Amino acid sequence: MKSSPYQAFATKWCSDYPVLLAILFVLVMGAWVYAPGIAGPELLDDRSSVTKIGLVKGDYEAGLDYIFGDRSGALGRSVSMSTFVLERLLSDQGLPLSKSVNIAIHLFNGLLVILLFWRLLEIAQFPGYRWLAVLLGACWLLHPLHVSTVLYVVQRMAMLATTFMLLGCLSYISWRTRLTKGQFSWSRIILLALFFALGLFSKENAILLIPVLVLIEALWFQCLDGQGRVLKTARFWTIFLIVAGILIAVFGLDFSWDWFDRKYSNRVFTLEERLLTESRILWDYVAQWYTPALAKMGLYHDDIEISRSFSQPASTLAACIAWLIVAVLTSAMCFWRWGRYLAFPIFLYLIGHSIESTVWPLELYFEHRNYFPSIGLVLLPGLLVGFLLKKMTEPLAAVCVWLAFVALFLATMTGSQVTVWSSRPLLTLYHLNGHPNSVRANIDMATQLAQMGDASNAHYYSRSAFEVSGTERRGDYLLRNAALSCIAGVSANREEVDEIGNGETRPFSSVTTLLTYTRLVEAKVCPAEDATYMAGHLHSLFSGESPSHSTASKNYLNLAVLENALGHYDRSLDYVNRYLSYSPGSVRGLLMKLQFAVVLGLEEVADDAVEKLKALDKEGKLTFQEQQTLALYLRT
Amino acid sequence: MRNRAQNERRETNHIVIDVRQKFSANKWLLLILVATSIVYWAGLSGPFLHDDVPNLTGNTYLVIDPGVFDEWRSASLSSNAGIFTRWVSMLSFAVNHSLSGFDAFSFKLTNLIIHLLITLEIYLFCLLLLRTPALERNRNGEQRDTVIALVAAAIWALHPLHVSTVLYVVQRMAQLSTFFVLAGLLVFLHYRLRWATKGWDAAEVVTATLWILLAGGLALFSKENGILLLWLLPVIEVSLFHGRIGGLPNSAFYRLAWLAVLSPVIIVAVGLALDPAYLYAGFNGREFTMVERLLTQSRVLLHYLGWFFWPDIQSMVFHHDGIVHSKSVLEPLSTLSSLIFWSLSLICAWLLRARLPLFLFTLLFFLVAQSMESSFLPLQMVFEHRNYLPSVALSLAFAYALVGVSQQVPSVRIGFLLGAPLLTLVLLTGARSAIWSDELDLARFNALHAPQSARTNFIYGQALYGQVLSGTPENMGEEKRKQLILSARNHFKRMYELAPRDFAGLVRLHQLDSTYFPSMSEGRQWMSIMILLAETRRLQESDKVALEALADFSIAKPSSESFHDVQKLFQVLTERYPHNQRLAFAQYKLLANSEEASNDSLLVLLESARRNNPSDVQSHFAVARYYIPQSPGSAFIAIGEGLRRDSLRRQLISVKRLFEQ
Repeated sequence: MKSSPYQAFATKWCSDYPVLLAILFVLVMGAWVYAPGIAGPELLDDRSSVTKIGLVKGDYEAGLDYIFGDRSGALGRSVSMSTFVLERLLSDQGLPLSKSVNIAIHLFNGLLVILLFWRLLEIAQFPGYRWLAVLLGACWLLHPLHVSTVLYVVQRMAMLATTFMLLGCLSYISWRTRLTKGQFSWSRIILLALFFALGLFSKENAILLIPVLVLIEALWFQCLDGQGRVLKTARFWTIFLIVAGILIAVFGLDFSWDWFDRKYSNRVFTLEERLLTESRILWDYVAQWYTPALAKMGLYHDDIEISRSFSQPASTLAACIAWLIVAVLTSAMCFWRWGRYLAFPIFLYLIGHSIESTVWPLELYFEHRNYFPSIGLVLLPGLLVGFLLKKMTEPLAAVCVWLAFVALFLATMTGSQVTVWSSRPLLTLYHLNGHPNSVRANIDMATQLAQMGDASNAHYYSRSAFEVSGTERRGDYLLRNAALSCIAGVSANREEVDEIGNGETRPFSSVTTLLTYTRLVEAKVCPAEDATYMAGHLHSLFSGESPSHSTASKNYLNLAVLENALGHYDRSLDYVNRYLSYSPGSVRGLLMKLQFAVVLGLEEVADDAVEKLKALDKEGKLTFQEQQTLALYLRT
Repeated sequence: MRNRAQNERRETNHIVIDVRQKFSANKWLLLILVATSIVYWAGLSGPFLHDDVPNLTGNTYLVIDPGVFDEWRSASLSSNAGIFTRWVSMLSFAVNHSLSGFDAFSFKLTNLIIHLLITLEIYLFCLLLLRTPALERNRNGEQRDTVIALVAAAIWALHPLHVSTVLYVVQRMAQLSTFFVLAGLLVFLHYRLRWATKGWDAAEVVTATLWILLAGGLALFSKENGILLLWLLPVIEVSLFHGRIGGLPNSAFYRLAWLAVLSPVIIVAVGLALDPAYLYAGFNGREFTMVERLLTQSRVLLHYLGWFFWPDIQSMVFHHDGIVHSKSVLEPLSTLSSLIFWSLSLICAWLLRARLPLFLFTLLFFLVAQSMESSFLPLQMVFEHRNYLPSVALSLAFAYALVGVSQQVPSVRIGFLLGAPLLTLVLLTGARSAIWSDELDLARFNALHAPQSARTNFIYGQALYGQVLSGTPENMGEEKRKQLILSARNHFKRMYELAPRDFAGLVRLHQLDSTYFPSMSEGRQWMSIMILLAETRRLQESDKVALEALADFSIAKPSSESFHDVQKLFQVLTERYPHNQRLAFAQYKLLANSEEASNDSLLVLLESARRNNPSDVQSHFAVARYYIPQSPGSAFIAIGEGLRRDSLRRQLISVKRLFEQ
């Protein structure tokens, strides 16, 4: 008697009942481990991308500004931004809610990884694939390397991109499995396209979904149907996409090499140096995955030694040779059916890193870059276990118990890492302990000490940061000391202030330091006389017809804000004009010019700014908030 | 047709007999467990004792918020007792605490449950051992095996030697280690019996290896003895399987197994030859040398055997420091006889390995299971809990012999032959358990039966003095109080006489005399003796505890005459032990409470302690504590230094709580 599809469905899920309970347990475990992280602090880019979003309740236009106004990626990352805006619309909880949402997304991703493993291992017909999928997924979910992604709110962009890539993979597998049975599912194709689009607007990395799907087809499905016959169309398209991808990569790089090279002008390394360094970093990620060294984990890896050549440091050559060997072996494995399965996770890892760990002039090292690629790293040993179980099924239970212990062990590591990430002082100390030569870690320590009122020790770590940096300008260091003095509640050392600009025509290399100082002055944290003295000294450096010193254009805006905070509107206008000479179309610059001109009663100047702003508005370059600000001036 | 019916009936009867046997075995097993529970029940109401305090009730890391995952990790890693953190045991204590707080009854009840589970393991272990090729030849049916296994499990479960393991909460570490070692051995036997008849199977080898390594890991992380699982496997192999695979002897495998049995001995011997200083270094903190320990252990092992086969509970006291250390093979003479006994036993076991395989197994199992705590490591000489695992083999041998005798002597009823010793064990264990239900009773019993033990006298003195301090019973009159103080002093004095180089007794005598008998001339000499002793005494753990108590006592009375003497004493000790942070902290506390204390001098002392113990986390935290009121920034930096050295992140939770405050 033939059973109905519903009965078959029910029977299947009932037989999977213990596995489903295990999945639930893993997810609950993940939530439990990560829960203390909700109380964690705001970090680096959280301010610029997340916490800057004010209370947008009821102000949907402003909300849309935030969603579509993000400039952190080529496509705007509007899906990610919309989640942040939605949080503000629905709740006033702020950062704790953002972190909670990140944790929820991580759990959902964990579930998707389990489902992906489930489907892949099922297709490859590994015995006990359900349990293997759950336990391997648990290892991924509970790995400590992901703490710096999950609890760093702005990395939701990377997490969401992964979510949609995983959903895309699952849609493709589902579509492909049906195709094997001779059924063509348009709904799955539409879903795939939708997830791809959502992924792209979460973070650009989602473009990698295309090569990942090609990998799945080439190495997992191997262009075969259910009976082991070659699907010619699938083979054609797979080969076509692989060849096209390689050609685009090679010729695209060749054509745009100089363009990429120019993008490195603001970096302390060149394109070639980045590529060499990344060869070592990719191995470091692998090592951190299989043998997690918690002390080294964190947000700051700016102390990593840059590879200047193959021999400097010598590990560069070793790393490059090792990758070459991996490439040759992995390619060779593709000649065998089971070898292709093993090659899949290795290629998945490398392709996952192909955007952020190659030619783009990004910072060298970030743990969150492993969020998607690490799926390959967890699958690789899983496949080895799967092959063992294909040979012999008896050890299945023992293997599963061992894997459960591995997941538990990883959970304990993650638990301690979450504790560190749940407290700013702890995070500061662990960052510095793990990376004593990190500029950022030393600056964080200095800031923390200044907040405790200990200016002397704060200056000690500020000096450490300056010394370990090697590239920081002395002006930045001295300005930072002044800011630290403000935070610690003591007067700045005027001799140090006077020293800014001595022997350097461009005393500041960083926009952040001056911005921080300016914000402190705005918030009246710095004593007014100190701030006035500092502003006067900086004015002597940067003002006049032919000033003796120069700085990055954005710093002129910061200087304008600084003088504005002190009521020196003429100086502010002077700085804004300097800024606009570099960026004449800057809406922010023009609005500031308008403001200072109005305060100083310079009608012509104000009218000129208004005209330019109106022209920009017509071109659609003003956000809703900027339009509102302009309207305010027009009304008055 | 008739034959078929007869066959069916025969098969049915066979099944019925099998079921009855099984039911019968289960029934007896249940009876053993119930009997064990009953005899131990009285002891469960006893208090936490001795090492329970630093490991459990005084361990603040066990006081966790169970809702925070990382706090479980922190609690699990909170033991300093072994090199592998013993996290499995500590985790079990954390579970206990989160369920019922520091309620001694629930902790002891858990120990009892583990004891019962091990009893079940032992039953299965013996059953499987009796099916090994070497013992199979002497087999006389399933029922006999069952009886032997039941008797062995009963002997082990009801033996009074284990009271000091089951009712001493911290010894759960030894219990859990035993539990997992036996689990690993069960897995090994399960598969090895198959391989002996059917030959190797790669899948089974992989499976068995995975399970055994898992059990071994859990045993190791319960207590370091767990590593012995890997040594006990070849012991079983050489004594009971003789390398038999697929029904045939495999001499190469047999030799390999012997090599595995001998290799730890060879490794230690080679280690001693190559770098004796490394192994001897641990004895710097002991009042005996490695050779003296090894010689003494030959006698101690015989003591253990004696306790097992003749369980005289009067000689089973808590501390056995009264034992005379063997200074040479002839001093005392019993050392020589012990060495001869063990040598002859080994030779006989080797020669009779074919005829009496169980003898070889028992001897090797006992010695290997004792090897970690009763050999070259600088531990205290005697502890009853060290027999918890080794006595498994003795129980089997005893049961085997008893059942064997019962079959040889048909005139004696088997029930009487087996029941009499078991009943004796029940009574003895019940009596010992009752003694363990009360701290004072236990201390009194020990002092009465081990008058030559310094520690026992000290502990009884402590218990009596504890009554004085706590004022129990409430209606205690002044006369009774004086009597208690005098009695306590007598026992401390007795301790001093028995162990004149031990600080514990001297500290207590100093405390008592300066508090209650200030005019007594004898009372003034204790400090002088301690200062003299400080120049030569190799400090033991008990000394450090006593010296910390002395510091606390002096701080409570900073104006007393002896305050400066105590400072001088610590000065001498910290100069001798510059790397001992506990002494440094005690000295710091003294200085902080003295009149000449200044911030500079205190900081110098703390920084010196930190310099001398750079890897010690607590020395950095002590500096941080000093800085907190005056310079939070410096405190913060010192905390960071401490965390840098805390590779297991044990302090993470407590530091987080500090920051939250």
